[in-house]
Order: sequence, then C-alpha cells, then structure tokens
Amino acid sequence: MADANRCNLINLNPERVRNRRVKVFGLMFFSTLLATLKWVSSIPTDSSLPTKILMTVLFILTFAWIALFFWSSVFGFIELWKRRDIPGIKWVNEKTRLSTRTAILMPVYNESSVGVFANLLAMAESLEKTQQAESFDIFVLSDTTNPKVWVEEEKTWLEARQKMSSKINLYYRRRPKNISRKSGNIEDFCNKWGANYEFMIVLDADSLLNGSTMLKMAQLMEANPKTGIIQAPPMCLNGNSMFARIQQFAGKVYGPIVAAGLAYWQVGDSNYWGHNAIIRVKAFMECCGLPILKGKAPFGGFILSHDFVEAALIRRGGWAAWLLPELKGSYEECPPTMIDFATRDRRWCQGNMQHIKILISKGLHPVSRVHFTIGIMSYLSSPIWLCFLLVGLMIALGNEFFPPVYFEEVRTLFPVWPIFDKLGTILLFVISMLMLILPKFMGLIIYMRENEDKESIGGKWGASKSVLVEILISALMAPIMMMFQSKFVLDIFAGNSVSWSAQNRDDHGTSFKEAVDRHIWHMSLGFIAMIVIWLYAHSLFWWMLPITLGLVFSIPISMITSRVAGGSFFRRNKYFLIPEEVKLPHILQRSQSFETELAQKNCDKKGVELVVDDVIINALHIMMLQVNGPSPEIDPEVLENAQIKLDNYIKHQRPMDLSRDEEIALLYNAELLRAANVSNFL
Amino acid sequence: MAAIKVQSLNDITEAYFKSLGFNGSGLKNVVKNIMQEYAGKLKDNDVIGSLDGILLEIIKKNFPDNKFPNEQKVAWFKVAFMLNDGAKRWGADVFSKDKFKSDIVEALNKSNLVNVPEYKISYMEVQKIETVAPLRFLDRLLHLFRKG
Repeated sequence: MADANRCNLINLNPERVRNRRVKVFGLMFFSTLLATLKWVSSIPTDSSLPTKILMTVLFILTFAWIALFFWSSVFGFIELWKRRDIPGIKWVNEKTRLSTRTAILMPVYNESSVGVFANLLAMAESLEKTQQAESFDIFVLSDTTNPKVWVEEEKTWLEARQKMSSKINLYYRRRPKNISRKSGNIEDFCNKWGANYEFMIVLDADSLLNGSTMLKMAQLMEANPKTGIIQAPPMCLNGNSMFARIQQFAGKVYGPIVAAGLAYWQVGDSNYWGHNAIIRVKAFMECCGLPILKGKAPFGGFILSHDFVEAALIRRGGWAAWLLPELKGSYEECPPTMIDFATRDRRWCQGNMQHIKILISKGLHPVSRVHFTIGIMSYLSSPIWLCFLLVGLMIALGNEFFPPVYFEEVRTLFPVWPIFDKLGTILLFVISMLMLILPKFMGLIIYMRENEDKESIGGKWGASKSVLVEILISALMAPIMMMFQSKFVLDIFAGNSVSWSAQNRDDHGTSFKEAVDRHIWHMSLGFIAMIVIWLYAHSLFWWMLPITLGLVFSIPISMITSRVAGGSFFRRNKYFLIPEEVKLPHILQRSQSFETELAQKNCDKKGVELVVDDVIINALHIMMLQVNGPSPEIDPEVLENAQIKLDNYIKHQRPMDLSRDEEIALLYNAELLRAANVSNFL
Repeated sequence: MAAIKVQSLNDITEAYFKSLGFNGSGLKNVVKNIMQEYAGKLKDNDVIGSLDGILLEIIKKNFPDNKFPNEQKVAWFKVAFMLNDGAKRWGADVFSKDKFKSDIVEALNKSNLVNVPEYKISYMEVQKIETVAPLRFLDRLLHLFRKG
C-alpha cells in the first residue's frame, strides 16, 4: 500500500512506522551478523567446508530467531516502562454510545456445552453492566459431530437462553457438514447473517471477555473506520495442573512485553490469532473468502490456520489490523498437560507449514509475510536446533573416530594444529542464553511494577523464585518440545495430515501408559545420546546435559507437570501465583457459578435417549432441526437398524446402543422422534 | 412405529396431550374438546400427524407473525407451552377453537425461543491466493512432499 494511503489507514507518520521496524530488524540483523562472524571464527578449523557451511547456516537461523524475540521484547519493555499507548489508533471515551451492531461468535466443535454456555452467560451479564448490551447478539456456531454433544448443546442453549437477559439474543445453529472447519463455520455465519452486523467478535470455546472490553473493542472499531481487525491479547487463566499454572504464570509475566514488542513494530499491520478479536464484517466478507489450496493436504486443501491468512488478506484489502495490549479482560485457558499442548501444536504446526505456500503468494503486505515467516519458524526452529545439535555432535564424534592429522603428506616443520575457539563458543552460548532469559526478567520488572498488591503473589522474592523455577522447568521441557515439533514437521513433509479432534481442556492427569506411548522415543533417544556422548565425546557431556536430561526424564516430567496436585503444591508454596489466581476476575467467578448451575441440570440420558424421553428436548430438537438441516444423506439400512433399536427401547426398555451413524439418522428424523416421544405416554 | 399403530385413536390422543403436560381432568377435557371440535380431522393411520396439523391451525390463527416453517411452528409452540407450564396455566382452553386468549399469545411469545434470526444472505467471494511467479519453484517443491 502506498504511504499516502497508509497515513489515512492508521493516523501515523509512515516514517515513524518505518523507524520502528528498522530498529527491531536492524538490531536483529546486526546482532546476528556479529554472532555469525564470531561463530565462523570458532568452528574447528579441521572441519570440511560443507560442514562449516551447514553449521553456519544452522547457526544463523537459530540465532536470528532468538535475536528477533530478544529485540522485540526489549522494545516491548521500553514501551511498557514508559507506559506509552500504541500510536496511530484513535482512542475513545468509554461512555461513547454505539450506533452499530456486533455479533459475538462462539464456534464450537464437540466441546463441553456447559462450559461454553457458562462462559457466554458470564460475558452477557458483564455486557449488561455496560448499559449497551442491546448492541450485541451472541451466536453459538456449532460444528459438533458427536450426536450426544449436539443434543446437549441444544438443551444447554435453552437453559442458558432462559437465564440470559432478554436484552441480548442468544442464538444457536449447527452445521450438518463442517466444511472448512472453523473458517467455514464463520464464513457460513457471514453468508447468512453477516449483513446484519457491522462487527463480529470471534471467540474460542474457552474464551472469556469482559463486557467492558467487548464494548471498547466495538467503540474502537467505530472510531477507526479503516480498521479491519483488533486483536485483544488473551491471557491464560483457570489452570490447575502444574503445566497449566506454569504456562499461565509465564503468560502473565512475560506475555505483556512480548505483546507490547510485537505491537511496537507491527503497528497497524498486526496479526489475528483466531479468537478474542473483533473484525469488521464488511472487510472480512470482502477479503476473507478463503480458497481451497491446490494439491492435497497437508500443504494443499482447506486452510487450517486461517487466522494468519485472514489477517493477511484483510491487510491486502487495505484495512488495518491492530494488536492492542492495552485491551485487558481477555482470557483463555491453557492446555492442562504437555501432551495436550503437543496435540494442539501438531494441528498448529500443519497450519503454519501450509503457510509456506501462502507466504510466497502475490500482493501480500511485507509485514504479513513476516507474520507467516515467524509462524513457520516457530515450528521449523525445532528441527533446525536439532540438526544444529546433531551436526555438532557428529563433529565431536568424528574427531574421536578420525583423529586430526597433525603432519600432512607435504613435509612441514610444524604440525597442523586444529584450532577450536573454545572461549568464543562459550561466549556465544552465554550470549544466546542471556538473550533467551533476559526478556523474562524484563517481564518480571514490569510485572512487579504493575502489581500493587505484591504480597498476595508472594512478594518480590515469590515472583523471582517462580521465574527461576519456570526457567529451570521450561529448560527441561524445551528438548521434549523440540523432539515433538521436529517429528511434527517431518510428519508434515512426509505428507501426513492431521485430523480434526476437539481440544481437551479438562484436568485429567497424564497416565503412565499415555506418557510412555508419547515419550518412550524421547526417553530412548535421550539415553542413547547420553551414553554415546559420555563414551565418545566426553567433553560435551555437561554441555549437553540440559538437553539429554530433559529427554531422559520426559516421562516423569510429562506426568508430574500434568497433575493438579503438582499445581496445588506450588500454589501452597506461593510459586507461579498471579493476581488473577489469588482473586479471580469477576467474570471468571460468574462463569464458574453458571457452570455449576448448568451442570446441576445435567441428566444421565444423552443423545437420542434424551430426545425421546424428554418432552421439551424432543420438541426443542425438532424446532431446531429446520435450522440445523438439511439432513445429510442417510443410509436406509442404518435408519432401519436404528428404528429397530428405538422400537426395542420403547417397547422393552432395552438399551439403545446406537452407533454414531444410527444416532445421527434418528436425530434427523423428526417424525420418528415425535412418535417415539408420544409413545412413551401410552 | 409398530408400537403406536396398535393403539386406539383415543389412547394416542391421550398420550399426545400427556406429553404436553396434561393429566387428570385436564387431560380428559382437552381430549374431549379435540374429539368434538376436530373429529373430522383426526386420521386413524396418522393420529400424531393429524394432531400436529390441528395444532398448526391453532398456531397459524393465533400467531400470525410467527415466521417459522410449519414443522418448526408446532415444535416451537410445544416448547413454549411446556416452559410456561401451559397445561396447568391455561388447561384445555388452548385447544378450543374460541377460547384462545390474548394472554396466552403474549406469554408464549415472551419465551423468546428464536434459535436464529432470519437469513440475510450475502455471499463471501473466494479470494485468489496465487504464488508469486519467481517463487513457483518453491510451490513445486512442496508438491514433492505431498502424498498421492
């Protein structure tokens, strides 16, 4: 986009925007250049040229990645220290009345309906307090495929509808076919109802947004007519397991400087993270009709990580996209275990790898390409790091098995000593570690300054010791995640696609069997590496220990961190405490209380059984069938079997024992369901 | 359903209204009303269908603004009626041709059982994502990694 247009778009001198980017990326390039020069001089002189080149390329990629994170965090720290708002966006008074309508969209896929509707009830209640609730409608957009969850959603919708203020409409619809997953779900909303709304706030099943935050987002959209997306950075909350508590502590302490750093150089060309964001419907409908990429999955087919692509397309269409760390009151939940985290990562990894194709597509804004590159690198960096370690190890092993030749065939007076700048390598290692760790302490400084009630979170020492333990635990987990992500990347390049499964959000604790299934190869590789290094590259043993140790103990690490007991132990000892944990935000308290209320109404019967036996749910399901249709094609044989089982259930009270397809076949047959319900009263 | 076909018209009509929350004398009254006022409309081979048809007539007459399709109208009425505990609150009057009162209409409409608003169709146009020409080789490279 031309600079003149940019001025109109974000109310900011393009020179200032450019300066910000030059500073961050200039420092990144400069520090990488200096480190690379030092690295090149540190590589053992007896290494072959291809090895030197390979080591250098891997070093550049790894170091540049760390440097970008570091410099971005430094600028984030400065912004937060100086308490500066993001320039270029027009801020508004809280009391400004809205003249537009906003749809709040909650796309769900086989989620706990009680949790989803409890969150919505809490958000609606919070919105009502703003006195502008009538400007918002809530849509639950279900892509649920499990028939039991489908009926549960309908039942909970009715209960939530009755509890919710009449000022806010709570709508529910289910798609019979979940084409294009979440992005298709949102597109379906836009096609059918988008024209009724100026803005839409997109949520995830575990999202919670304060009413005042949603109102502010809508007000900002009204005040900044060239803005297409405003992303409110979500904060992890409500974690009980040790893993989730560590994640939420890290998010609370380090998250703000990361977000502020990103916002510093992205300005009006920010990204969208798929939820807890407000989008201008017109911009979205004009720019974000996602194509099906050429070729088969994993690189072709439906776009998986649609959020980055939508942000890039909106930006390509001439709309601004903002990440506003100033927007508080935006929450989500962390995966409770490392395995759940990795499962989600597998999906995200494929989505980001698919972006390689989009990264090189026409017309994108350069910053959008940077977003794609960051996303891709956040997964590619793992196999790069692994290769870097392996190549280093191979060189050490090579020296063991093929000792250096001190006297070459050509006669010389002096032996040829292989030169290895040990001090230089240690210096680079220390610098890299500092670049990784310093932002955490910068985050801690801001965190301590912003929290007035320091005692409740364990005081300065409490927070500092939590940061130290977090560094230790994340150092142990880092090699495990590196192995996970390297496998994901390999899997994807081997052409293996991921299926769509609902994300686990409940505290369940990883069982020994599950941990062994997922980590046995991490542990085995850790052991093998440890033994090989001990025997043949002894000088590297202590250097490699943080990596091999994490891998060797991957099973207990995964199991222990998944436990709620571990989380409670640390909480009792005032580790990883955050203010929102000591005093729950009101909206979370309300959500938990609604969840208890809704859960009390849960009954043992599910799916077809519930529809047949409960008169209200029977009529409700039939009422909603019109919207939730059209019925997919049902195999007559499946329907016949289902009818026989239903008949036996009614006449002889035999368990129905329906297959998923049979249950779906019955749920789409209003006539049968009506008759079955009446026959209960015969 | 075999279980239903062997029952008498009266039994099924009773079961239908039991399912709407009627019992005791209220049930007898409502069945009597229906048998008297709509006798000609009850079909032996599809009692439930014809009772739904009668209900639909009542809804169309008393809720002219209800824009739901017919099947949904009937289901909507049943849900709203039961949520309002209609059998106890209004008894057989609801199913009597001339006794349907305006407060019933008001109460049922207040149930606010609209699960989606009316469609306002406007399609999103599919965007082009084309690889930049000098980088097509990367695109081809990616194709090498996919299966099939």
